Amino acid sequence: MSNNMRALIIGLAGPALSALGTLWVLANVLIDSGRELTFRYVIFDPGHLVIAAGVMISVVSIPVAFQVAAATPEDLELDLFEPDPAEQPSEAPADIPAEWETAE
Amino acid sequence: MIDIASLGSIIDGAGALPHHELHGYIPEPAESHHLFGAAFLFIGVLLIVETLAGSVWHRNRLRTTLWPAAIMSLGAGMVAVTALEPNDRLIHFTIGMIMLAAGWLEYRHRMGEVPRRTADLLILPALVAGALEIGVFHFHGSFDNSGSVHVLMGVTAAIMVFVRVYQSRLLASAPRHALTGIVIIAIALELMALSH
Repeated sequence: MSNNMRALIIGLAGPALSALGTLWVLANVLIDSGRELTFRYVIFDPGHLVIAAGVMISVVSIPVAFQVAAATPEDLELDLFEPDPAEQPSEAPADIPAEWETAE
Repeated sequence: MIDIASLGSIIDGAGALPHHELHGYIPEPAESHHLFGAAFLFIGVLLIVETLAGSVWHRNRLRTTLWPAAIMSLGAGMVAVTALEPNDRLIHFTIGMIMLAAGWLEYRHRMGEVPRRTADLLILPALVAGALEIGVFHFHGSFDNSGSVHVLMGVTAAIMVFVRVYQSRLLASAPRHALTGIVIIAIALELMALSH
């Protein structure tokens, strides 16, 4: 997948989700038009929450989309997070201090 | 010095508060499920974004820790639900602790302190326990909206175990990484479908 295609998907993920949430709200209005519009309903209704999630995703992902568009293909490989073997404690026995050896 | 006797009476008093007095401030169970669903949707989509962005995503340390921090926050939220919601306290508390522990290990893995295999030693049994609790113990024996969705969520959590193992076998695979995000989105939609 090209950089631009990746950037486009990343950049549109949040707005697309918000659009889906808007459709959800509109469908809800058509199905259940008699519902009273209260503050509590707005903040806990799934449709409104999907819109809010989409906005929050946009805030995080749109700057990432610009960085991805300008990145090299190597930058787009997944990080593995495995610890560096050189930093792991070695299984070889530690050096014994000289004074311990002479204690006997 | 804190007077233990008076502290005890305060705790007893808080526990004895009628639920209807707090009703205006505490989300109903359905509302809590919808909130948690939105949070899962947020992190599920961001996991897919992370897959597409690769190393670019990790140029910012905050973004690297977003996924484990979100899981730990949701776990803390679940423990808060235990304090506020009188029903199914043990189930909510256990799932909350599982999420806290799993998030912490995922954080340490992402910081390069713990290998993936070590993290999975806790995360996989935690997912199995979560699947059993949601799908079996939280089922309550009825296939109404709540029962059906809880069984479905239990099955999805069990699928998550296999997805995690599948991903661990080839960590560099982008599709396997994205699959985790897709399963999280499925759990989010199931939570939003709960009407109780």
